Amino acid sequence: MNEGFEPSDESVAWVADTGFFVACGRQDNDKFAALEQFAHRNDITFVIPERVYEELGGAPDRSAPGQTPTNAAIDAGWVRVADEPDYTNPTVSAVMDNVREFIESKENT
Amino acid sequence: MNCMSKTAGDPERAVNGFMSVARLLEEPRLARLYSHVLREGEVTIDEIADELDLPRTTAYSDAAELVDLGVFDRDETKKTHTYSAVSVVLSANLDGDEYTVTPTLIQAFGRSPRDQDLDLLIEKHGLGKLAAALTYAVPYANGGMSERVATRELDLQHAFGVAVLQALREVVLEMKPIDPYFEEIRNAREESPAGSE
Repeated sequence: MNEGFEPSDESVAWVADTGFFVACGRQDNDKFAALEQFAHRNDITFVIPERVYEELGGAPDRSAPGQTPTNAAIDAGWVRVADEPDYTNPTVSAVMDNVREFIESKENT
Repeated sequence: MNCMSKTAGDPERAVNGFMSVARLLEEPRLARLYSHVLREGEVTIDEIADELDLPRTTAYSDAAELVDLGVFDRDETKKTHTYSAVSVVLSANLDGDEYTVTPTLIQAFGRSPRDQDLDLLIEKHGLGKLAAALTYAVPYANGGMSERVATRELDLQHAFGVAVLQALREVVLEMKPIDPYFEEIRNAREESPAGSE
């Protein structure tokens, strides 16, 4: 189910933040069902980083994110967990360095 | 009468007001009724029963209790009595740890039975955690604090913390124009330099 980062692939939407799935899962899953419908209708797969997957899965059982059917969505194929970034790839390491510098500069202000 | 803590020098009123707020923060149904009437202005029992989907007898006895507590005014000059809410603001200070309760916290508590994340937060961590989370929801709602910083400082599992912030964001946006003491709610960003990004 994992494959490399392909930014030009229009059938894939990357979701880097946990809050998006949390928001869709709150209030009776209405929005989560709508998200699934949107994915099917537009033939899109949402790809989430391992970290987001773990954060969603680690939520308490009785919380809304704990009850959001992320695993069912993965089984159904419209959500996929991404591979860990390959840090030996120079583009990946350059992006990571830039991001780290950006965060540090913001923290020091 | 518009505020129960502003009359300085009346200890009886201050303590009674404290007990009234404590009662509102004990029974979510009363909290919900209070913030509903605060938002609506003047309402009759029939309107309350209808809009909150309560049995008429419950609406009547709850409204009567809030009149007794001094947080509702009942206008008996009209043929059909109307009720209006008194804005409450209560500052608690325990050995230097201070918190100001305003209608926004009362509304957040009143919403909890119908929001599984707020309900679970109170069940697992207590009302104090809801009050603390509100101080983060204020800067979060206006874009001044990220979910990650807020959930880390609240020491909540990240996805759950985000769900709580999203629930409280709705409360904050709803109450900002209604709560006359909104500005007195603590803002976690303004007090904790470590909390800024």
